[in-house]
Amino acid sequence: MKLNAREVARLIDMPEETIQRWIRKGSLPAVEINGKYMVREDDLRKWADKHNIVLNEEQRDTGSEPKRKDVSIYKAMHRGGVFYGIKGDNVKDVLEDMVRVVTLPENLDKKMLLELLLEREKLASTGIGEGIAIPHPRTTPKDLLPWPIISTCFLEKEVDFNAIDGKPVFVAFMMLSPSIKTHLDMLSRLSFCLRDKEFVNFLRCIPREEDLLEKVRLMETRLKPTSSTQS
Amino acid sequence: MAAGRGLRLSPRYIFYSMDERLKLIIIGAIVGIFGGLASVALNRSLRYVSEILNTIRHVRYAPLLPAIGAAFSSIFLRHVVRDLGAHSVPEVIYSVSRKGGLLRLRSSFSRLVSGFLTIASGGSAGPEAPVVISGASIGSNIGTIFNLRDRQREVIVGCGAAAAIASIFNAPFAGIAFSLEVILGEWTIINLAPIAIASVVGTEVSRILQGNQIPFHHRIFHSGALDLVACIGLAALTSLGSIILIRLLKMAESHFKKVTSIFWLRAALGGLIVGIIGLFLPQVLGEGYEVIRRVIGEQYSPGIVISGFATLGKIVATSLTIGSGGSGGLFAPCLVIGSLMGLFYQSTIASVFPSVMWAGESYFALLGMAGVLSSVLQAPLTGIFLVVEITGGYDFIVPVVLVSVISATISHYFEPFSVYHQELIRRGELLRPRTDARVLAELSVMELLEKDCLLVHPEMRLKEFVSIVQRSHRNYFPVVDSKTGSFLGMIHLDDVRPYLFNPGLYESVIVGEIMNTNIYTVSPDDELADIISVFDREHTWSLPVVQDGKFLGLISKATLMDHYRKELIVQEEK
Repeated sequence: MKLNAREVARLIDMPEETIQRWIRKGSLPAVEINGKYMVREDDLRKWADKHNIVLNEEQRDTGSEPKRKDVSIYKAMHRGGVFYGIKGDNVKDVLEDMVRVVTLPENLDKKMLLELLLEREKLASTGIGEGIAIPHPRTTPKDLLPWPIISTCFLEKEVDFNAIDGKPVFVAFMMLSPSIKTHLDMLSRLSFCLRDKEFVNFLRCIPREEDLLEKVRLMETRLKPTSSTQS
Repeated sequence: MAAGRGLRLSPRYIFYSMDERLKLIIIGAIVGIFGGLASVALNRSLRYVSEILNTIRHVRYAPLLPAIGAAFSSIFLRHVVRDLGAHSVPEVIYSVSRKGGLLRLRSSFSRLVSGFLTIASGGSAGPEAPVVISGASIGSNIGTIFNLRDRQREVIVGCGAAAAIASIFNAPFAGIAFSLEVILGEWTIINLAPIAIASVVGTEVSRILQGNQIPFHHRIFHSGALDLVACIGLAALTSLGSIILIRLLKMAESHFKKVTSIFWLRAALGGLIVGIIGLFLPQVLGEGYEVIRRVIGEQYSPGIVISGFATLGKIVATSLTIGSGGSGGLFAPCLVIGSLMGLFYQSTIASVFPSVMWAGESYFALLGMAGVLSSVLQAPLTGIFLVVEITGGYDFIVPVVLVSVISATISHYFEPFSVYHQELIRRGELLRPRTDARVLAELSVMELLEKDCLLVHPEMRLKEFVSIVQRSHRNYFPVVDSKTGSFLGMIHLDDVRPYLFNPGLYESVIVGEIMNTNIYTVSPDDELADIISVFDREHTWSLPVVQDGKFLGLISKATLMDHYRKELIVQEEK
């Protein structure tokens, strides 16, 4: 098989101009066909082997990653459900009760999840201020979780989460994401909503599940589509 | 320094303040004397013993002699002087290529003794390699005495090798060519001067002690155009012979290792087979100078069949002797094979074209020697000069050049590397000056380490991280445990850029969540050539250097490039 300069350039990850110069100088073996220089694949392989050059075998994708899953927090909250009256006087008890009540994909071990949540809390509090906490594990076992999940849990009474503004927490959004990218995307959407004073006050009234989800859906339509928050 | 106080004119001070080139030339001359002496010593003792042994060659147990000699030779090397490996020339090349020319002092005599035992007893090997390592080792140690730098010492090692070859063959040009082509691998003015001096001094020493004799006399040729044409055929034949020799040598080496693990038994076994071959073809025994002398003197005309068998026999015997661990070189065997092959070729064409007046047996024998030597060593100049000098005549330089160059080119196609370099190339240790591999081998990870990166900890919030990013001028942030200091992962700015400008995340995201833990790390002892291939494979610009779990710094492609260029510049000789 014969390759033209552009294909060779792709294989050895150098600009086409360099390849043409190398061919002109005779550094790279080439044959002339109809006034155009071509390189035999065999020759190229031998040459690369001799010079210790690694060929770029797999055709690398030009930036277009596989389409990421839809990162709508409305859908995630819908999946995760809303729970009321979570019991507990301290962070550990609250998390324990939360993990107990929420519905999770069945292959996700609740005990392990609790440990992960506590471990994250130990590193730094997930209380982000204004009485809101976003407990989540630092890493999520990828294959156990097909989609992101947000479980909204209203606490029975306000609990000190050691939050940055010191205010006790009244609502916790437990967030589980299949990947760190999704996590950060979800988090930035959620925090967009939470920066809205009106929304926080709405939460303080402990809304019904349907109202809360509807409100979030509306707020999310105001956000730019996910892809643009990325790049 | 003591020389600073009133001792300005002490010889020591004068010597140390001397111009580098002059210094190297003087040391080269000294090394030349010793190299010459070593070669005369081995040559004399070989000749003396072979005269004695010739009287007992007909005894029934004679075939056992090479076996005994080879066994003693390997036991001496392994247990008495503890010098590993019977290969001498590759060891010299390795030392020049990787160890700054350092060679052990004992190598200056150990191979002389073991080579003497192997060859005197009848093993098919040459005295040149032992003399080369001896001269090289003397050079290396004299260089150390004079406190030379690595690069200077390498040149002096080359001087030793040149003096050895020059004095053993009374051929100063061959010595120079051998040293530059095979040992050092580069021709520069700085190399050439001391090596040339060592070469002529070594030659002169052997001339004073043994007289200025041309080793092999030949009669004057009357060659015609047809002989030149016939040379091309001889070139093809010699390259074929060389390829067979190189491959058989490799085969013998790997097969003997399988037969027995007792090294001296291996050598003895090889010697025994050689001894048995010697029963039928006594020409194959020993270093074979006598055979060459007779062939070139045209006192030996065995005909097509015998000369063909003798050629093959010598090839096999040489592979067995050296492949089984006997001590000695390929130089003399190559010459013997070449001369026998030339004889065979001449007899063949003489019987095919009986009407043509061919130039004669010695003409083709000499050309054969040049051809085989050039092919096996992949050093055509050495072959050309050696044959021209040992015959004392420039009258037939045209066919010699023709055969040497064509033969070396043909065999280069099948066996691209010299028999001395193959093993080193396979291990990736043949590093010629100013090549990519050499530059990379001399740089080390610790030299390239960049320590000015800001460390972050997993529990840091994004807000803190952003403020660190503001202060830093780098794109990579290594994450280490704040208590134990162990390396956990890295954050590359490109991966987190979108989140850095989202204040909503400043409090809710911590470094531990955004760091990349799936990072390839390198250790300070890694070879740079390997690290470069990691850079290429991972498509990254920086890699963390980690030792025992602790982060030491970053190594980046940009710094590497910068140092690489400077390294190349300082290695240039101006």
